[in-house]
This record gives sequence, C-alpha cells and structure tokens, in this order.
Amino acid sequence: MVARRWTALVDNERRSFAAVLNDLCTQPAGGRRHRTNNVELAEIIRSRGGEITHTYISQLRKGDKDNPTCRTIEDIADALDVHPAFFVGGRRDRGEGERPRWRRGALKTLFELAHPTGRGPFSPEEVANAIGTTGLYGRISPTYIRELLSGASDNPRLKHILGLASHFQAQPAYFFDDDLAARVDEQLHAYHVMDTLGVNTVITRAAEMPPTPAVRNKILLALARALHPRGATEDAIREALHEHAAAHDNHSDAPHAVAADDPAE
Amino acid sequence: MHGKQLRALRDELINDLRLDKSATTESVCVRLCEVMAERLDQEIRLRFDDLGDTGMSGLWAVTDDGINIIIVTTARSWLHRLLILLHEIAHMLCGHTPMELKAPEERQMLFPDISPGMLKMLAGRTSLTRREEREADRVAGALTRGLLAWARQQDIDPFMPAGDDAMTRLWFQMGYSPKRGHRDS
Repeated sequence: MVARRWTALVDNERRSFAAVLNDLCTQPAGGRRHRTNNVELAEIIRSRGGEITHTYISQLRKGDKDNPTCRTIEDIADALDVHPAFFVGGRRDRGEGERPRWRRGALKTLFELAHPTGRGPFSPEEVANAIGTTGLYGRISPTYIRELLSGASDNPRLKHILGLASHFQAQPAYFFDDDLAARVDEQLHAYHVMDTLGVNTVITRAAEMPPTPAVRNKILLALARALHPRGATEDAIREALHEHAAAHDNHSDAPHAVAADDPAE
Repeated sequence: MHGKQLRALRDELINDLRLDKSATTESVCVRLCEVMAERLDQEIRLRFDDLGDTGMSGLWAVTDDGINIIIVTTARSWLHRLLILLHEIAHMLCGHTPMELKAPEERQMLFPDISPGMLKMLAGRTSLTRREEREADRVAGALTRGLLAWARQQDIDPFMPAGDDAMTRLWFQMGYSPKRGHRDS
C-alpha cells in the first residue's frame, strides 16, 4: 500500500487532467443521477460566479487544452462536488460544506523546509531553472515564483503546480489538501528538529503503525534529554513543537478574488 | 554473525561485564553499555525514557558527532528493558552502522507522509533491512541465553520470570522452565 501512494508523484503514472475530468463527467457522482454534459457543467460554474465556456470544457476533456488555471480547477471541482486535489492525484472527497482551494503559504513552507538539511533553502532562481530544465512543465519565471510566494499571485496554471510539486518532491495535492499538508508540515518540522539536535540516524524496531505526531515528539524530546541533560534544549524544542502546532491551528486562508478564465493557453 | 564467532563474543562479553551476585537488571544494562563503549571505542549514552505505549520499545540514534544514544522505554518491566537493550546492542555488534544500511523503511516509518523522493532530498539516510533485523534478534537471543547461563552458575536467579505476559512467554521459548531452570544454549 505504501508503494501505491506515491504514484501521484510519477508523471506517467498519474492520471491526466482530461482523464479525471472525463470520468467525473461520465460517472454519476454524489447526488447526480445522470452524466454531466459540458453545457450543464459550464452553467453550474457560471451560476456560482465562475467564468468558463462549454467549448473550453470540451477541449479540456479531449486533452486539446491541458493547462487550466488553478481557479478553473477549483471551479470545476466545486461544480462536480470533488476535492480539487483529485485532479492531481489526491483525495476525492471534500468535507461537508468545504470548498478547498489553492493553499496560500504552501509554497512558502516548501521553500522553507523542503531542502537538503546541509544547505539553506533553494532560491526562486534555482527552482525556476530546475523546472525549466526538465522540459515537462514548460517554463516558470523566478519573478512569478516570488509572486506566488508573497501571495501577489494565487492563480498558477496546472503545469506550474505540477512543476513546483515535482521540484520539491511533494505530492501536488499538498497545494490543495489541508489535512495532507498538516501531516507533511508537522513531519518536515520534526525532521528539521531532529537535524538540529544533530541526530544523523534513528533506528527503531518497526512499530505496528507509523508514529503519531505525539509519538514522534516523544522521541524528539527523549533524544533532546539524552543529548542535552541540562534541560534548556529540551524546553526549546518543546516550545518549538508547540509553536508549530499552534501556528498551524491558527492558519486561515484569506478569501480569493474570482478571476476570469483565460481560454488562450 | 555465526555460531563460533557468536559464542566467543558472548563469552567475552559476559566476562567483561564482571557482574557480581548483587547485580540488578538495571546495573546489567548500564554495565553492558559501558563494556560496549569500550569495545567499540565510541560513546554510548543509555537512557530509560518514556516512549509511550506506541510499539516503539527502544531506539538507537547516532549523531553527526558519532555519539550513540540508546533509549529504552520505561513502559516495560526491567526484564523486558534488558531484552530491548540487548537488541539494540546486537545491532551495534553486528556492525549495522548507519553507513551500511540500505532500505529507507525506518525513515519512511517515522515520516510516513514525506515522499521517498523528498526524504532522499532532505538527506541521504538509510535504515535497516529485514535481514539485519533478524540477525540482531538472533544475536540478542544468544547473548540473553549466555546471561541466563551465567546467572544459573551464580546460584542466584535475578531473572525470575513471572506472570503471563509476552516477556514470560519469551523466556519459556528460550528454554526456561520452572523445574529445570534456565537451559544452556
């Protein structure tokens, strides 16, 4: 089961946007009793404040257009009652009354925490360069990355999303799925704490389940006590772990402005 | 590590331990780490700490400075703690050092939502294979039997198993019986 989870990260194993969209339109989902045709879908989206044409939807379904904006993905997901993460290999169900969107701050966290511990964070230039070099996701400029980081822009296109995720080896769903992101962030944080303690390797007898955050924190604190018996380090780490948990609980997204869909890709 | 080599190692270790009749299980643990540290010429810090009811009974960590930390949970009886410690020490004796480890399973277990690719990027770390886990189990077992035999020779029984828990069943598995006492390996 562990091996299958990571297929979303491998490009040729992840289902295309067109394939996912087609499935959703042709299979009755949720309360629907019939398939959703392109005209209906466009109407639902427009009635909820989005802008899209049935022609564009048709092109998306055929794969003639394959680089929708984030806003389009969110609008389509909402209309079809699925989580936007579903289009990028993530979860299908969204919570009651939830309308998940592009997570502001997600990219910033990846920059801050997802880098080799022996060096500092990647620069936007490095990331832009690396993504461009793969040839798989088109090009993205360092300037645009900075805009996404600052929140000045919040409507990347699908290829931007996939390229950024790929560079950091994150699941693309990380940019949409709060629950997944909470787990990843907590674990990344713990990883860095462990690295700060100077712990190179931890070998444990295999537990039945992966450890919960509480267990992981117990291990970190036990290591802190073993390495720094005076107590100051343990307190600092305890504080850091609690701060992270509190900060995550308080995090909330600002509302997005509705943007017009741009069919010219 | 096989037969002859293992028996020789076991006998040497028991000898080096220089335990006396008053040895408690706790002092056996502490002395074991002292002897191991001398043998390997590395620093070993032994801690008994609360790892909770998690299924993690012990862990072995190595810092960048080469300090070994062995943490054994306090959530178990002293007998059980000794066995856990022996397992971790067995890894060290078998030379399962971090640099030789291959599978990223342990790391993935600690950080299940971080992708294998991201883990690799964060650092090039490795973990134990199943074969190495089995080897450590075998060596730990041999060391334990050696300790039991030593205890019998001393005419004392610091390792009197009681109760119906997994620990007691383990002792029975390893050849203890109330009538016969501990059996030599």
